[in-house]
Amino acid sequence: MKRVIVACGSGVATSQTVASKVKRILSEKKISAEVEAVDIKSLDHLIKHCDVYVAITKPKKAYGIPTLNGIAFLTGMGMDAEVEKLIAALK
Amino acid sequence: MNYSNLFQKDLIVLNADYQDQKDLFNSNFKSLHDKGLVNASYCAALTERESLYPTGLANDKIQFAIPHTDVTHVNHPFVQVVRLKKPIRFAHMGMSDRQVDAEIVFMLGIKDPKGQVGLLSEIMSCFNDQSFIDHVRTINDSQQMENYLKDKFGR
Repeated sequence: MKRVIVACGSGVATSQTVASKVKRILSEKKISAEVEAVDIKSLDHLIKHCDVYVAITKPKKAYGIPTLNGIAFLTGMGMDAEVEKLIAALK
Repeated sequence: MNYSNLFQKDLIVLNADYQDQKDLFNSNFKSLHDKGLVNASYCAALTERESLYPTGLANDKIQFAIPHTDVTHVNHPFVQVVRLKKPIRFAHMGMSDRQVDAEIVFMLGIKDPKGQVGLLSEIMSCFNDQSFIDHVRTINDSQQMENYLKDKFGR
């Protein structure tokens, strides 16, 4: 199963919120994938096993996997474009 | 999930006047700490977290901020609602080169990330709703504000 990782500063609010939104979108689109919210300190360690990175803070380096703008999922602004990228990355 | 209990009139500060973000954090920390809602470590943790991972947000209707920090610094969940007399500058959450002049600040006391996961989504939909923004900008009585917020977050 493909894996989506969402990371924010402390892993308590924003990443949880965005992860739950991503989960809901995927289930509506009937795409199965694991979605995990983590704090950014765990990212380097965990991202190796992931297929898509949803970034809340601006990524400081490239991880070689599709990287999406998490703020779009949070605020809803520009979300459609990110959803399309998400679906493309999980196909 | 019903979040209405998080909103209390003694956690609502209307037309507050602060010099800067530090002043805002210190002053609200004192009041949260006096109520036993946060640990002594909360203010430093909040400040550090904000400088590393800022929480300013903006849409086409309003600029606001949702400062928060790790669960270990929080004793009981809360939302401290602060409406500012003059906006306070925050860095934008997603774009560190962009600034936000926040007029409303929701300080989130997160104790149970999984249980409170819907709270932030509800806050986001509220800040996309012009009627909510108009109410939050204009209600001048903290009891009325509590009633309004409890109603909005109690469904």
